[in-house]
Amino acid sequence: MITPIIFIVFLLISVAFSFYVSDIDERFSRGILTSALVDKSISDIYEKQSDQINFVKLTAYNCSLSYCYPNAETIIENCINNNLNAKYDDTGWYADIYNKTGNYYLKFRIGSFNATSINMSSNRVQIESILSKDFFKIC
Amino acid sequence: MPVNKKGQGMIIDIILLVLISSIFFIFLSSQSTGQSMGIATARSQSTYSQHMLLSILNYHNGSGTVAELIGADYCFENMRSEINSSVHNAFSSLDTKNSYFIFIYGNSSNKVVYNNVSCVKTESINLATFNMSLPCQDNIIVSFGYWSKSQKVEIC
Repeated sequence: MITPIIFIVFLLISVAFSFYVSDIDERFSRGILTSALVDKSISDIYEKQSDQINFVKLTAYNCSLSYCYPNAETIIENCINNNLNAKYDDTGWYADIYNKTGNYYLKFRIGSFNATSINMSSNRVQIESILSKDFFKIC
Repeated sequence: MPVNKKGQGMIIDIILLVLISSIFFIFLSSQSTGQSMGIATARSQSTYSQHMLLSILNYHNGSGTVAELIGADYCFENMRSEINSSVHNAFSSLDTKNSYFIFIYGNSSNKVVYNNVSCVKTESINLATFNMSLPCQDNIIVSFGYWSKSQKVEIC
């Protein structure tokens, strides 16, 4: 028994539903794109930070092959700074190598990185990292 | 109390209205749930592999992180067995199956550094990559991928 009231209500619901469905794909796509861009940006920055930390540590190992620690401590630190200045645009690098409870540590400050996808950047962070005795050569 | 035909019609109209509205409500609810699930799945798939690769590269096993071992192997000396052992331990700590592998694309050579093979012919699935700068004036791409369990890995 379809009366005019039911017909009108059904029509209104159908129109509203059509509007809702026509927009759902777009909103869904925008949601996926936004979350993917945020995730990608965080991953990009995290990757760049990891890559720079690895590079600084490997440079320390590389410099210790040419100069003797601790006798040539300043020369090794300058060697690391020079390599970082040559590799990255950022200047003002400092590397500090020190001995703490029998282990050798490298202290440095990594750069600030911008994400490529969205406007997001990381702060400069000070890193204190233990140097592997297998690679960092001692006098 | 007698009810006239007009009254009966209105009652049926109201019942029909409630039924139709309920069906639409249930349908729309299921649509919105599917939407949020879809976003969550897309997000987890895009980052899971990358995080797993970074976790493996940052895994420390006595002599250094896996990334340091890979870099030292490439620039200084052969560290293949240490890398293999470290990556194996990293995978064990992450509770994953052994169908994964780590592959390195370099300018001078391409190497599989995990799973005890030096070269594979089997087609693999690449999950994530990491571009690594080395002080020996080189860049390498560390690739993390897997073979499906049912696939027989063919070694060159």
